[in-house]
Amino acid sequence: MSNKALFVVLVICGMVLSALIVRNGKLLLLAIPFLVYLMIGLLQAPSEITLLAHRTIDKPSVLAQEPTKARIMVSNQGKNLVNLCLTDTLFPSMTLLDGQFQQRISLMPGAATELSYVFKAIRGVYAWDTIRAGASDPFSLFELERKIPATAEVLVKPMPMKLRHIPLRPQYTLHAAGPISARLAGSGTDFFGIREYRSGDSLRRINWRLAARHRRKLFTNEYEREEIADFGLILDARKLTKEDGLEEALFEYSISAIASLSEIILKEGNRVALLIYGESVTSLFPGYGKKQLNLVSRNLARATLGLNLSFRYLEYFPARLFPSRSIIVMFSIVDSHDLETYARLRSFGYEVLLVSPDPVEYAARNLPPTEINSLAIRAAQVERAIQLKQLMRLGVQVVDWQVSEPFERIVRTNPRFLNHRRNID
Amino acid sequence: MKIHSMANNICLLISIICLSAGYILNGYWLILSAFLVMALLWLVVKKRSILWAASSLLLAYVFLASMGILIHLSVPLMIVGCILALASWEMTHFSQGVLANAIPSARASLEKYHLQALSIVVGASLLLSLVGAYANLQLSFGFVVIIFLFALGSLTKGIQYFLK
Repeated sequence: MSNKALFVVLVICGMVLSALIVRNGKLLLLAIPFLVYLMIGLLQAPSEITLLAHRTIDKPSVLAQEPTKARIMVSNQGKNLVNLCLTDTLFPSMTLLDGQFQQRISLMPGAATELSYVFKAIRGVYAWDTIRAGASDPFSLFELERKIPATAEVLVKPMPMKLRHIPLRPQYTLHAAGPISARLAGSGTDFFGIREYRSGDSLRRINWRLAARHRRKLFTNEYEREEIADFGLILDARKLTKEDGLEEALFEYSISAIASLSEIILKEGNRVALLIYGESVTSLFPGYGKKQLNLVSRNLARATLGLNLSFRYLEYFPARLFPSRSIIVMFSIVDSHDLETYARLRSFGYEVLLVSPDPVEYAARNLPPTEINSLAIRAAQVERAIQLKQLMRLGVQVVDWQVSEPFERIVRTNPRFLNHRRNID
Repeated sequence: MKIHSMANNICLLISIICLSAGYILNGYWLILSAFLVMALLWLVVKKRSILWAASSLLLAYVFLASMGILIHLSVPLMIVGCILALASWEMTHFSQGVLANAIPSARASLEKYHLQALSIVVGASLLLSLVGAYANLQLSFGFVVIIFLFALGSLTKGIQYFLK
């Protein structure tokens, strides 16, 4: 029963009571129109809603803030519904761009209608199960509500940052053809060195100029082998401070950067594993190609900052998830308790590259320029610099990322991304 | 939309005429000041919600009609005014609530079903009220008890049905 029906019932009761109090039957005559109104509403109220709904999303996988269209076809399989209200769920993080997610119509038996709207959303996975249908009499006095199944899911991937090819030079590579120079002689394109000719060497690779200078000796050109590498991407999703806004913003930057990085790495044929460490642990075993990229995007879309005391410290981090000698790229705001974990990772033989979005610089931008604030910022900067130095001493390659700078510039200009060292086994 | 607003205005006008005619014909010129108060009430409450304003006006109208019956004014005028005031209130609700959310292509059919149902309400109400006003039936106590029990049963069943 709606508020309107309740109002009418109250009017009727009021008039009956007044008639009883003043003992005048004619007053009851005024209640008749209201009673008839209520009765007609009651008679025309639907007894059942038999609707079929089918939802389609134009692009089931989109980038954050990219518009996409949702269509819901609803057909009436039952009786005539003279006053039907269809309402779809618009999640709080969605913005309606065009159309309506609510529609009021009359639907004849067998007839169909389409509810369509264009929306954009922030990163996440949005799933719908039902659409709400409320049918009532023409006066909207008695409403019958049902949830009609209409399932669909849209994956809103994090917005990637503009990133071109990164000339990564890891210490260790996998023995499969790829884009990374392995610093081993093999069948590549870049000149690597010269050695004495061995039987079976291709005549094309003989260095005739050198052979001319040495009597009865031949030399062969060697080229650098190009291989793929194992990358482990770790996203630190722990809520470390009470500064929710700051951490959320830096977390979003990290997600965008990791999405771009994984795309570039996977497109070059490398193997990527992912670990999101926060309120719970989300792990993705090493894999290649588009399927892995899709899985990485899906997991990143779902990632949220979380406060879970059991994961407060990185020491509980499952370090053995990644194949040995992987390059681990970690995105984290460094915590003072994490040093031991980085030391452990190094001891396992991982090559660790830490990309740390700078919370001090980000917070400083939003603080009023007072003397006390500048002192506080200075102290925080010193503390952070000490923490990063300690990590560097452990052999961790640290990239201090001030998020006001584009990530691509950081990648291109920072020598730690272009590591040329090689350990001879 | 146009038909609805036209019908709404006509209903409102006729209901005011009926009420004022009932009072003025018997020399109660003070009713004009009551209309002034109602107009002010409409203007004040309308700013908050037009639906609340319409409901307040309907209540005021029903009160004035009841007073009219109590002071022996013309019953048919009061009944007709009251029915049309109810119709006007319903149409205001419909245009503000239902039509505002309806897509343009669905408005015509919604309006059609609404006007059909409303005309049934107006017709049936007029018939029943006027029959009630002029018919003088002598019913035995037993018959009245049976009708009462039947009405009570129907009401209970109706409520049970809707609670399901």
